[in-house]
Amino acid sequence: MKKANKYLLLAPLLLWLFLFLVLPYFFILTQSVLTTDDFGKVIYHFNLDSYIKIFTNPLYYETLTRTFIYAIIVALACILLSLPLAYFIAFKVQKHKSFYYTLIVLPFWMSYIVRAYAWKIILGEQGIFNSSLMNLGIIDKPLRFVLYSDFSVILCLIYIFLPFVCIPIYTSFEQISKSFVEASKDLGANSWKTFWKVIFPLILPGVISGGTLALVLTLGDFLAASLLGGPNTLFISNIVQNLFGTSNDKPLGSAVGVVLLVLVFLLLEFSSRYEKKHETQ
Amino acid sequence: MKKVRLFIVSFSAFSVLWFLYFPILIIIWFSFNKESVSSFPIEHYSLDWYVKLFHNKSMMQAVRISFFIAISSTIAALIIGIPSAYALHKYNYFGKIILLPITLPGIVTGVAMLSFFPMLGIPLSLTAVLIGHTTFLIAIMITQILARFKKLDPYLEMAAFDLGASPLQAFFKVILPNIKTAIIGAVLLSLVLSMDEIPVTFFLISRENTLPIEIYGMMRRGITPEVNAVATLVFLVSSTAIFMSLKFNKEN
Amino acid sequence: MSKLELKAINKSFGSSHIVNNLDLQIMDGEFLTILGPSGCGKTTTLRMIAGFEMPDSGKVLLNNQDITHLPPYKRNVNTVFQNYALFPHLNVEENIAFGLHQLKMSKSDINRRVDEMLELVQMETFKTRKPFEMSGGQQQRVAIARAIAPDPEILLLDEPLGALDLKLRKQMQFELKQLHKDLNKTFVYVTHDQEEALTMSDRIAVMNQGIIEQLSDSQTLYNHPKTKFVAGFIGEANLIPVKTEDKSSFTFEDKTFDFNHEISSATAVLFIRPENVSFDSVTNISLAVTIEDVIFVGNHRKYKLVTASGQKIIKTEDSSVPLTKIIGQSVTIYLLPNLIQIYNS
Repeated sequence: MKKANKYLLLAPLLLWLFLFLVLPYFFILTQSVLTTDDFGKVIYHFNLDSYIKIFTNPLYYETLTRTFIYAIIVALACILLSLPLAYFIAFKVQKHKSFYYTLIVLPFWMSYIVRAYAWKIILGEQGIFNSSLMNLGIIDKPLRFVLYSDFSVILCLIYIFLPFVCIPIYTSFEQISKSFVEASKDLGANSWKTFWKVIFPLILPGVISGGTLALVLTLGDFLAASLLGGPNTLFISNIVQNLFGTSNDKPLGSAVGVVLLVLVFLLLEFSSRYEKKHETQ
Repeated sequence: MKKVRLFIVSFSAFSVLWFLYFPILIIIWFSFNKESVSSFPIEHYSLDWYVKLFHNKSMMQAVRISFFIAISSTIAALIIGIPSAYALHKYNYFGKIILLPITLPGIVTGVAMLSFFPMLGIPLSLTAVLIGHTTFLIAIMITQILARFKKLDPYLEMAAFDLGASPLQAFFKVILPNIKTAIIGAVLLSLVLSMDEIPVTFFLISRENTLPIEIYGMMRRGITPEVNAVATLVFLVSSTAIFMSLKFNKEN
Repeated sequence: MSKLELKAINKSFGSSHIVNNLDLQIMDGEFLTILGPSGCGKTTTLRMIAGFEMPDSGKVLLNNQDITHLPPYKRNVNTVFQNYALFPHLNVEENIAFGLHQLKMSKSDINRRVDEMLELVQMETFKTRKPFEMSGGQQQRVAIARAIAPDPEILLLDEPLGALDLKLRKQMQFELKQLHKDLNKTFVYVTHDQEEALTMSDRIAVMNQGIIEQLSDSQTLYNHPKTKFVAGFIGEANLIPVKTEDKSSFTFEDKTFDFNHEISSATAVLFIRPENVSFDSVTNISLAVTIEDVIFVGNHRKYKLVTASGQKIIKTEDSSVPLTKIIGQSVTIYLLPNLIQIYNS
């Protein structure tokens, strides 16, 4: 294919991405080192105040740390829940495999909003969770912390991101040929040893990939907190949301955004380096 | 011992599946609840909320707007995406930058566009939303279609040239028909993703809401049972679309 | 005493009775091949020796000990798999050491044994390579080394050379045979390639539809196949329908010949190898034929002969024998009685 034609075909894409993706990101970077005047308008006065604020003001760095810890909790929970399901479908199901796979994939495609909303109903004071526990006599007053708290947000995020994590883990289980398991047993390793020495190392790339995805998605999420969070629930993305909304401090918001971006880049980079190092194909 | 292990694994697997679907079933169930308060158990059933839904003007408006945005941005993404995927396939290069809109958190993309678009003379409006959606849909289109190109027999195009077709003719008569199913799958996927998009849309709208933003607003204000009805309908439509999309992919 | 014994083994999958009342005794140190077409049950039989399948009934005895229901990791038997099954996340060294770790050997012993094995299969320079970095033949050698390293009582090989090209396959056949001689270990080999079986094995068990039709060494199998199936499966064969009214003669095209055999049926089949069909008057079992075609096949030539009733017969002879016949010529062929078999049709 002629070089000229190639560039001609790619020109619309390159132009579009440059105008609507590259420049905006670049602009955010620029905006992060600017500041605002008293009316909230951005003025072109170069300084690093925003970044200094992030690393000295506990509101910002504590929220960032807290969000990161929550992200790890969400990732770990998703991995733990995915493992039995992925293992079951890959190894224990002969027919109807695609049906079960569709079951995992389906929620992935359903509206985020809808899936988050369900927890409002379930965890509410008169919701199913509390009503059932009260009917069974386990508690006599509804538990208030289950909704509008950090707990409900984390639970919701685990629920929403579960398919995202389950799919790469399932894929890596599927790639394990039955003959590897047989060869391992043939050479003297029992089922338990076979799982740890052969199966687990081979699904680790899928686990890391899925886990990283859950981490990145949680760091960037502001919806769950605003729907199911309490008055004290604050995720780092909510801060960005506020700074570009009611608090109107675009440079600071951009700076937090940039920090978030850097964090995400690092996570993705580590994940892809790990995958390259443990190449088996 | 083996049977016990099998039982534990199956039980865990099905528990997780139940965890995935239980909330959805709850919503569908409660959409038929006559009461406005979502208390458990349900005393009376009715279709009232579905009826109320269709009379909710701003909701219907939001649906129309979402359809419009979804279809327009999908078409735009197709126009840019198909030739780009083709060129990338020939050029054998794939820049990671194309994937940025889907790998990076939507909120960052959203605020970046929010900040920069005014510089391009684009105010916060549906136009901005359309551009935003198109941008990440291009990434979806290219990944899906490029994957299909990779599975395409390279000799098909050569055979077309051999028989006298020009590159343009070969593209439309030979290549395009053979990636039809991938395109249909990508279109369905794009429509669903656009209709569900919140983070980027949130920062780019002004007065007119898309459906998810409208629902988001309703949810923030409290639990109105119409939301259950909307949610159920959205679920039905999404699952149908996804089933069809997966079926198309299987027939590949 | 046999090294391995299979007694009255039965195995079914659903409604298919794959292995049918099988008895087999394998001697210590021998190279035994189970030969047969796809679906005959040979791989299933091997997997029951390895422990990946359990027989529905019957016993598997190793050194006279019942291992029928032992899981594979408790049997001192190792397998070389058809697709090699090298662990993709481990390099060559780690793959070979895998079985040794299960034996709780000391680190230095393991290292020594691994080096020994690498030398055995001539893969010393591949120590740190990963499977995906190696060719099929190289992976094959590592698979063999890995299976031998723990010094199993029996080495099982499941069509290990199937995926290799012809030249490499011939070379590996030679190396495997050499390995068997050097190690003096019992090898049980499964293949559908009869040439491979004939060249490598001490004894061959020919399997068909779940039963062993014949168990003997290559020569006996080739010259005196016991059943019609074995005759047709090994080498080239002429299978000529004949009539037998009693057990002392057979009739072909109205001519009756004295010949002692075991079949008494209106429909029987006479077997003779193409190279044992003679133009020389060496016996009184003779047939009148016409030469339809003569084909030059390199080191031998093939005569396509046809009888009055249209029965086709193939004769082969070495190319060094002077060619004295022409196409269309009518000749008489003679069949040596000790190289004839008669089977039930």
